[in-house]
Amino acid sequence: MKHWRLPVFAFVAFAQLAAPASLIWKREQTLRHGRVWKLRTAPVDPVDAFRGRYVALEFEAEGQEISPPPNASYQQAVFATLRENAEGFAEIDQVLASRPGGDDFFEAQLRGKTVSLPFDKYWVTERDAPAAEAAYRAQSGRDKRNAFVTVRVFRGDAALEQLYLDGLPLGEYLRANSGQK
Amino acid sequence: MRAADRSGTRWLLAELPELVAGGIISADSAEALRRHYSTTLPTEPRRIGFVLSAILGSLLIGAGIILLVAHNWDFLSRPVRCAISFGPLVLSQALAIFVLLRRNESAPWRESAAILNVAAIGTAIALVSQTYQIQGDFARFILVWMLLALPIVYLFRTNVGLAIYFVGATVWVVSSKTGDFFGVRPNDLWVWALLLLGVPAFIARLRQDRFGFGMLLVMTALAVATAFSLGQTDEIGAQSFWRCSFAAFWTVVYLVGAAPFRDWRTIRPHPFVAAGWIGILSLAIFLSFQDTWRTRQWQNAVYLVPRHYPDVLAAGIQVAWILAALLFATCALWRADRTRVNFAPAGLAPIALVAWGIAKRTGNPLIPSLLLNFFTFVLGIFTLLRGIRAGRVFEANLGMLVIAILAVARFFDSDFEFVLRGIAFIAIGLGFLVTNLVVLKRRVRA
Repeated sequence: MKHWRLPVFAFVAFAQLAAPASLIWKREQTLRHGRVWKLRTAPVDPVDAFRGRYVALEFEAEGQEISPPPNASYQQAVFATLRENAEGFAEIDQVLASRPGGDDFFEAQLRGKTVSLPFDKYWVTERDAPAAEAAYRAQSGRDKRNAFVTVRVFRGDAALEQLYLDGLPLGEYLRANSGQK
Repeated sequence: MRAADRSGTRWLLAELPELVAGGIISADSAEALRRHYSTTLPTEPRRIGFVLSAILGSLLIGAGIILLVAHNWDFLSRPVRCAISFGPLVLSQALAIFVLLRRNESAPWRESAAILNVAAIGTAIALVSQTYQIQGDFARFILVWMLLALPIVYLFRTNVGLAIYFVGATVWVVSSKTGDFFGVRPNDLWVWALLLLGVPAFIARLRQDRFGFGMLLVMTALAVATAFSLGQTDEIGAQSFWRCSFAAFWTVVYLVGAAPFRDWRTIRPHPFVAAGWIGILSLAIFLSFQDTWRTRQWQNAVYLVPRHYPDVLAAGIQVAWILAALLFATCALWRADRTRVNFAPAGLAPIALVAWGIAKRTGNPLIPSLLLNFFTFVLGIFTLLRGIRAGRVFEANLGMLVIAILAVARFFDSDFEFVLRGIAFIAIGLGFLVTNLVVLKRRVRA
């Protein structure tokens, strides 16, 4: 009976592989089938924007006052839908306590009369980190509002796709501006 | 033979030639001693070193792989990055299968395979999350990680793995949904279920090697996890009851070290005895201040019979803790040798309970604080006298120290004159000197 551990371990190993695999699967579904939205980042405190290897993101939509579902508590999980404004950027449309119909909604957290979006970090590689920091600071200051992200939204999941600075994806922006220093 | 006597045994074996040369024992006796102790001297020390280096090696290799991969990250496409994220996990699983089949009886192999695997689970999830910009909920990440690690603890009978599991449960309970630490949610009570899931493994490890360092590590992790869980539970349940639940916690810590682990080492007590003393003394001194019993929470947060689910359960857990401590103390008092174990510190649990009851009933902070002052004073005197009677210098001084700390604490919240304080400190100083003199004289006479 020494080998009972082996089949049990096989099961456990499968579960271990399934956990990250399910993350990938869900995210791939969102990236393939989700609708693209552009979210403008909010002006940030430049000192605080960069922490190690990610950009700390804040969005204008997070400052937008919404009407929360009735009887909702402060940090309750809610479902949000988006709408496009005149400039082509996304705003919060509806905030609901239960899952709406259709595919174009995502889960967020209520913060009183605003919502907190389920993404606030944009991971960059070690090599790009210093340049990305300087660029994001330059493009997301209070006088310039040239930073936004694209997000794909699909059945509750919201996948951060790309950070754009001055209309270019972060990587291209860094390459285009690398000679200027 | 007790684990600790190993260094003593080694010393004795090294002394033997000199003893024989000096004519103190015969060569035959020396040989007999050598034979006796050589067979009982286990190869434990080398095993600990081996286990430690195996663990350290596995961690370093794992970290190195991750760093190498991270360096070239942006050259790789997303599918390749995903494949690489699974690499450490699959490798660790292969190693685990090898260990299960071929090295199942070797503790170092089991420990390192388990640690590598547990680390690889977290790594895989984290790398995939980073690749896909998946943010999210740190608490949920920890929870998934720990639940996937738990079977490994059972399959590989690993001490370090079990300690990691308990620490993970702690991290889970203190990380709230938004990622800020120490936010409280009703769901936090599930931490007790998490801890209970580890308990059968804990008992199994206890049975196998009670006095080893691995067990000490696991016990420490469990104690830390329990302390944090109890703190969160106190926030949800009857908030003012934390005084009793933590009195119970420290009492249990002290008693575990003092009673069931009394024989841990011949020359020194279990570390839990020291931890228990520090905890009990700190809490008793803290509660001996009137201000700590003067709280608005008496009016608005103490419902011993709360009305809905999380509070009822939390209050139940709080009460269960104090009952468990009292029961444990009674059993230990019943069974243990009272000349060898000082049971006075365990008095904190019932005293705190009575004091809390009075505070709750009357709302008056004076009597509860007096009760705690009285307890601390008696604890000091009792320990002092025990030390003197048994001729134990350390214990006598510990008793004096308790009294001295109590005296210092009282000077902080009272308006005694400087002269009076001066006289009191001189008296305590004299007390220290006299105590040591008495104990030493007794020793000499004995």
